[in-house]
Amino acid sequence: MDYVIAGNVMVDSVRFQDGTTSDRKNMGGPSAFAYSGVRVWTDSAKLVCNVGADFHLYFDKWVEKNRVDMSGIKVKCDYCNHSYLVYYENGTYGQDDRAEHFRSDWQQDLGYMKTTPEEIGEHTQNKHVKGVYLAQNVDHVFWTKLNAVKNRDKFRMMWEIEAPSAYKRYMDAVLYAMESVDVFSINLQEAQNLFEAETEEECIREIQKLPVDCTLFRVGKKGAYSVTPTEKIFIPSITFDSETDPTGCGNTSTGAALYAYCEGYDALHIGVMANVASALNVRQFGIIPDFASVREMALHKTEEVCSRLSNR
Amino acid sequence: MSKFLCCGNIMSDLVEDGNGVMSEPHIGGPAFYALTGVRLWSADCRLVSQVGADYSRLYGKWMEDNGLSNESVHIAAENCSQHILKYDKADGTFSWRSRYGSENLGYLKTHPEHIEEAITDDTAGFYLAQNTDKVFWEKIAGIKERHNVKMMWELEPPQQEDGLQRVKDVIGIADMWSLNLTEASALFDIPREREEDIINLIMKMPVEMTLFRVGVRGAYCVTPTRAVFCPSIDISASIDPTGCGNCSTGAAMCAHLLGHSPEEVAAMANIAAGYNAAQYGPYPKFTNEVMNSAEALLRKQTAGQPAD
Repeated sequence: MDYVIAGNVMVDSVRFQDGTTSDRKNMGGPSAFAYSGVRVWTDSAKLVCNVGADFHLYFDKWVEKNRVDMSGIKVKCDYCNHSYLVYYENGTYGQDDRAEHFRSDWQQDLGYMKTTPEEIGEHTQNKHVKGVYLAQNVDHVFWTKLNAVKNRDKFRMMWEIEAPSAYKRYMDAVLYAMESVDVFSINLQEAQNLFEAETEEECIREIQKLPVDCTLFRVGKKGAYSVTPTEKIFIPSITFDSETDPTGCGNTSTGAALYAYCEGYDALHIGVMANVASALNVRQFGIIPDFASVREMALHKTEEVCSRLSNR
Repeated sequence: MSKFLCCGNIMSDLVEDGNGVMSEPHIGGPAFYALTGVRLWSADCRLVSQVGADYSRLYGKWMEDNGLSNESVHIAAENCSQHILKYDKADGTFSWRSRYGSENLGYLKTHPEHIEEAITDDTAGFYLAQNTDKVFWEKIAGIKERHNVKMMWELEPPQQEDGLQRVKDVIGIADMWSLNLTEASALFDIPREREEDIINLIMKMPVEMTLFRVGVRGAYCVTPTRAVFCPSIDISASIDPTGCGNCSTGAAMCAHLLGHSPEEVAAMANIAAGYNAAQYGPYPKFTNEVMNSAEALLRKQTAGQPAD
């Protein structure tokens, strides 16, 4: 497989301020969404993640329909990570304090099921993988091990920074991690915290100093910037036909950006393809259900938007 | 090569005073305290754990002083788990918080694969504090099928309403069991005062031996046919009971696997707990003299004579 998408898989329940909720628990989690962002464009991608035995309840139909390669998925616990999200009126979200987690040690299991560098390496060694995605914190030991795997297996690395690590006091650790990173993804709130900056422009100036080839700087409903050390391109959000649930849009767009970067697309295409994938994600609760059915419209939309933005 | 493996979490405790000043970390954690309980009786033991890069600084001296190998200790994160205990002057209670988060604690949990990697031809048994997750236990069952080893299970109490059933679903995979009075009372839904009723149910569990710990009073060694009580044994003034349960459990595992009688198992568990309670943190150095003293105390205890 050309792409290894590693990290947490989750089962999401979502609540909005108007009382709307997801009708059931839906497939989710950073790696699952990022995987979908890659699968919009190619079938050559593999999920490398640890799950609970109840994974099959939520994922089996989707796995079968999309011919998902299961060889990177290990069952380690009884239960997947179950996440309960609430969306606020300003578009941000957080853990839903009203939801009752059915197990008090769920946070420990979140850590227990995290994908390790060694587990990534099992699927990249001698496999000529083009790119790897991971949402991760700044743990020094983790990045040292991952760097060793990357140097051995020669893939490009997309790092989606985890929000608790996006603070200025961790900048040294962020820069250490970036020694192993080629392409980066961060949202506005995270960037504001990381750089102690207010405006998007201030954030972009700091982002351009980072030692990565390209950053997907996601600014919520508005859209995203594709940022390199020498250019910044704003791509407005794209809409297809409906907007139901934004959960996972950031992860999905990040997966797509990884694909576009590794395939050699320019900064404009990286941003547009990220937003197209995000627009496909927002149409329903949970992950894009059928990749084959959306690929053509994704390609057409990309061509249309790139052409329009190029002619501005 | 080690006869006894002590597997699972290590963690340190720091105490925060009323002014926000932190103490130095006191090393500990279930697997580590269990290791100390074994080490009193046998040097043929090894820690199996995932740890932080600060492990050497925190635990290295103790491991070296006690002649123990780190070959099954794997550095997986920046920091070992740490808990901060804060003393509330107003009501005299402690609260605690995880310094690096529950997620970090979970990331460092020992996996069944780590245990299997550590098992050698001469391994008799391993200790593990664990919950009732069935996937985990199925993997343990597979390990036991492939290797001739026995397991001491120190109960992590189930949170769910059907906790007793969850325990019953997996306990047959273990060979030895350890729980305290509070855990047993909650699990069996029997008031703490009715120890005999609790013991009757423990005896029906499909394990060879249970260490049933009843706090400062002491512990029972329970088999399917007998329950033997041993009162607490103080080595010196009791300073800090942290880790006594884990320590006594490790000692009981070692004692049982060495073929000791239930009377001796309970006594060896309590002697180990006595050494553990004599200071903050673990007993610092198990010299030959200390081990010989422990053996002498065991002989006195099981000969029916009170400790000096």
